Amino acid sequence: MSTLPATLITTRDLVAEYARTVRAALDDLPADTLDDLTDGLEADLLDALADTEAGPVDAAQSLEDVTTQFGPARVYADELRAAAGLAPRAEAQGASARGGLRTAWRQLRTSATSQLHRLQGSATWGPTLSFFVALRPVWWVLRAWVIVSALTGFQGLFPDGLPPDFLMLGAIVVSVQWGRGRWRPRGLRWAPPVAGVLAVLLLQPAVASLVYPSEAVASSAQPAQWDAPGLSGVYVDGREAANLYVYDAQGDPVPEAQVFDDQGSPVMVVTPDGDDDERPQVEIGDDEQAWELDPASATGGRLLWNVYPLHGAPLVWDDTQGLVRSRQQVPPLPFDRAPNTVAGPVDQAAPSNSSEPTVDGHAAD
Amino acid sequence: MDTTQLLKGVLDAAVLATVADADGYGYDVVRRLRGSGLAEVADASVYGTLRRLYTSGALTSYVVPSDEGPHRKYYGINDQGRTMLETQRKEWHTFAATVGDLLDGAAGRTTDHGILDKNGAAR
Repeated sequence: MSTLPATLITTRDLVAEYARTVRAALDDLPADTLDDLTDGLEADLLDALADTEAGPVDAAQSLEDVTTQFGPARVYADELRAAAGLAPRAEAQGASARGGLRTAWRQLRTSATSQLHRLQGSATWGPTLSFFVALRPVWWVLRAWVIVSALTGFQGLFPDGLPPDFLMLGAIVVSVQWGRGRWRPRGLRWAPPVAGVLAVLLLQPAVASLVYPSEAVASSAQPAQWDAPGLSGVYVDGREAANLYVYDAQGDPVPEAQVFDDQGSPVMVVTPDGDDDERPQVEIGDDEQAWELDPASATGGRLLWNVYPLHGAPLVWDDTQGLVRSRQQVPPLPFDRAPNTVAGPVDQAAPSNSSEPTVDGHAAD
Repeated sequence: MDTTQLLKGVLDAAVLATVADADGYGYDVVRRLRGSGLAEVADASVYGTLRRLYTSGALTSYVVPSDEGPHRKYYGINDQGRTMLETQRKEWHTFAATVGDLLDGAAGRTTDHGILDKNGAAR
């Protein structure tokens, strides 16, 4: 049983293709006249095939067979038109540029269609083209997906949230109906081909964002850890430090301390980008005040980002200008004085007899 | 004789008569016309004729969805269509009788001449 529906669908596709060519040959008619004239055409063609001695499946294995059965689509269309009492197609009537373009486009399409039919009839190309014709529904779904993902900018296979979900499902239904020759918007007959061209253009970026989502993220947001060798930052207890404050052994704040790691690299809490005028923004304090941090300047004029505490300027809201920098200052110290004074290093070899603890995690308030 | 040319002249009446018999969709009308003996009727001509009769107000139309395939557009006759069919029926009978008489008469004359010639030759 499983092969039967597949074969029927193939016949139906061939009939749909033939009907499409007939409609194309009548596309100079007003949309409602065309619809009136060809509504139910597929059903009629399928019925006529079913009435042949061979039956619908054997009667139409290829488009060539359908053409053998009903005659060339163009002739069929002309007959339909004449019997309906409509004027014959006015060829190359357009004196205007638009008319000329339309005629050229129509001729191009007609010749392409007939070339396709000739190829489909040939022994080598027939199966190959039939294969792609069979794949067309995949494209109908794909073009809807491509356009909706480009419009909404979501990444991944399916959008999150109900409205985008419905949009996606709706677009797929419309696209498939268009593919089947239904729901074609009257007066907007350019819409399906334009959507097709758009989908082809957007296909590559949309698929790329699906396969390499991180790439698209990296270009817009800060670099991800695994692919950013220049990344800096100091983490304390899982939280990223916004600034560092150095106190001397007596507990007094050191105003401009240069901090390096074991390899001599400057320790930086922020990752400055290449632009010297661009200032990193951080939030400092319990009220999460936004600050722009400024580097220190070396004697040679180079910018130093490892001189702590980093100076900066709070960003304040201005009704006319939005967020603006206020006066540069040192961000508020966590302590005026460090909670402890330093007695000296602890030597593991010598027993420590110190009565005072040298390290204390809590501030003595 | 090219019967397709003859058919063109009477297709309207034939289609109207078929639909008057029972509502039908495009291919169904084709099938019934062929079943009545009009074997050479072309599908597209019938569909075009149905559309033209519908546009001129002689037929009504309605769409019937199909479970297993594309929907079908049915046509039915209305009063205007019945009047049109009646007129065309009368016209056809008059025309057929006239042409019939004409052809029969011509056939008789041809035969007479043949006989005369034959007789003349025999003499």
